[in-house]
Amino acid sequence: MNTWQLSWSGLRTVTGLELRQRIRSKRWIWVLAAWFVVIGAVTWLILAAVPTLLGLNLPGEHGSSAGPLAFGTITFFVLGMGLIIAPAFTATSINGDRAAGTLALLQATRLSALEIALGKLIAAWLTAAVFLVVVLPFIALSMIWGDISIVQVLLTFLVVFAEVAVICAIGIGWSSLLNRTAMSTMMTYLSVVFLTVISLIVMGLLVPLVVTREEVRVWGLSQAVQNEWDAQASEYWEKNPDAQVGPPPPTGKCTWNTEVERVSHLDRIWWISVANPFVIVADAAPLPPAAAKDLGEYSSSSADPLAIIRYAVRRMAQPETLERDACLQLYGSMPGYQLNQAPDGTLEVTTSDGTRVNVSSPVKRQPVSVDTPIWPWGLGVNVLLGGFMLWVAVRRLAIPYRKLAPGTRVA
Amino acid sequence: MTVEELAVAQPPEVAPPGIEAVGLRRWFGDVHAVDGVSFEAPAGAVTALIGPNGSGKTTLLLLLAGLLAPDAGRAVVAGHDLAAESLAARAATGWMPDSFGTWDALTCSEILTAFAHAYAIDRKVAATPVKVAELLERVHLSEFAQRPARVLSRGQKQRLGLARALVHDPQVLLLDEPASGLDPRSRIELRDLLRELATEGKTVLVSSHVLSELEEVYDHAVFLSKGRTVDVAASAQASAPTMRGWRLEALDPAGLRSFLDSIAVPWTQGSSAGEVVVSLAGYDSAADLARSAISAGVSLHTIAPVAGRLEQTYLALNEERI
Repeated sequence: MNTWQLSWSGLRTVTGLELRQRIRSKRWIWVLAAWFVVIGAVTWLILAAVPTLLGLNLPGEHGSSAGPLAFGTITFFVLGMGLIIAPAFTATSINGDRAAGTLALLQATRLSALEIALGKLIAAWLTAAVFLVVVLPFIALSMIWGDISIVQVLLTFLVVFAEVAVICAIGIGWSSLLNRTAMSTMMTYLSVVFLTVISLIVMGLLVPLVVTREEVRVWGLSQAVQNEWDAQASEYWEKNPDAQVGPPPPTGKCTWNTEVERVSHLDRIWWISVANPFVIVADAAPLPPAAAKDLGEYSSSSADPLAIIRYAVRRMAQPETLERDACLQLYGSMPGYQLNQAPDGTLEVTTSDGTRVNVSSPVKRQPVSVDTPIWPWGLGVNVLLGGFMLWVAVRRLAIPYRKLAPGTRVA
Repeated sequence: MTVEELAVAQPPEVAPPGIEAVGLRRWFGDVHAVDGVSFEAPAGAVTALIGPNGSGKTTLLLLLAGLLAPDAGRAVVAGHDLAAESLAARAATGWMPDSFGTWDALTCSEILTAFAHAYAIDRKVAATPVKVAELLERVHLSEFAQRPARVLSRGQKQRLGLARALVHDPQVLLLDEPASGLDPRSRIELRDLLRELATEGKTVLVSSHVLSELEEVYDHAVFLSKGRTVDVAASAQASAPTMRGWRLEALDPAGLRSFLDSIAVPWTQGSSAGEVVVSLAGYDSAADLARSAISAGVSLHTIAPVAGRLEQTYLALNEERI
């Protein structure tokens, strides 16, 4: 049998047939125009809202965050819309043709099942791509505020394209498995919802299950020293009620103590979100030039939604060290001192006038690096999923049929 | 040179391969759609596939088109075993299903070109515009070449379907109800086309309910009943071998009836007032009856068999249904 045979000519024949059939209708142009207008309007609203969101009131004023915020929001919007339209292109492509009586005609030719399935996928993907390319200018618009490079725009777009292709493949698989077009459309949309929303809900609901009470090593004051220090501090504030700077905490007396605490092992469940298209795009989008080596610092200082999601997921993925630094936190509650994150990711203490206070802590820090991407895993899982659904479609298209699912008509 | 030497010098003429099915069987659950079909359809001839609704004609054609795998039995199509050389068999077969879906937005030439490509190994030689135009001419759709397929009527779609089945110049044609939806003129054209194709040496297997059309075009007939091929000779002999209905009409109907009564031939009222139907054993009996009627002074002007041979056998098959 020639089920898996693949020729350029066969692929071109199927793709050409499908594309012509899609593009010929006038309605298609109107849908595209409406799509362009709607996305344009939303982009404009986003661009108008960004400065206000950042607390800037003057029109036209923008900080260094405006570009990334606008870029991230528009990208997510386009990705979301892409995920919504992609099922429409493929979810009925096989069972719809079967109902129309055109599928068996193609199957009876020299064309292989792979050529038919892949040709349909490529045609659907190209159609979806037209919709995405049309809105590319809007994504590029976010470049007007700087801090976003064209490379970022294009690379992010490539990942969006790949995600749409995966959804198209899932649609082809469902349309080959189910005889009713309504069912296959529903299942394709459910698959999208599962990947994007339900996976997050499941992950959230699993959080309580990974919380355990465990012994944690805490670098801090022992109970006796803590009581002593509390007394000293109260005494100090009684004597100097108007002091701007509190007494320096006795960090020299910090020791390792063992305490039992609630520990969330998020590293056990973070992977549930790895196949989420939004996480993949956020994680794969190149960082703005302004981003420092430490992702946490960048994501907290900027309003870049992509960076915030990227940081959150990578942070979750880090295994729990079961160590805490309570010692450094003594400065946090003391007037006159500030806790800041240094560019290398460590916390440092400064006084109000900017002088660094030397505190040494044996607690290991785990900065989230920009160099440990998780998106290859996510994209890999999605590509495997799409590949599996395409494989299902090819199996279901392979002739001669040995078994027929109940209710399936051959022609 | 003797006659014998001549015979040796010329290789014996090998009949080009047609369709050969042996014990084909395909069940869908407990529905025995095709349940032991054996027949041969030789090349260069039109073979009619006849049977009542649900007798397995469409399923049999799907098996032969390589879309369904048989549960048992084997079939050789155009010299290719379906089980072993499915692709080669498909490439040599033109299949026209009873329901022809179209790509509504594509023009007739585009559909034919696409299918020529789908069958082609080399797409450059497969679908030259000239070939496509010739094919459309052959099914009288030239004026629709550049029109989208959705404007075609049912009969025109049927003709486009026939052109599509012919697009790769197949050796074997499997036509499922090709005459359905065709107007009388198109039916005659279809009949001529089938004849033409058979003359070109192709194997034509055609299923139809429009038996009067097949009557004039078929060379062989395969009768299906309940998924099985029926041995026509045997079944014909079993059920009153040569008795068939003949339609008689005379200028003076009353005289005809009294004549039939006088020679003790039972008659029944025909579909019109002056028409009577009698059961006769064969052509000889019909000739005898006509002769004696004329000599008895009956103004007989019409004597004809009620139904064609196919219809007669078909009705005999239908009786089994009850």
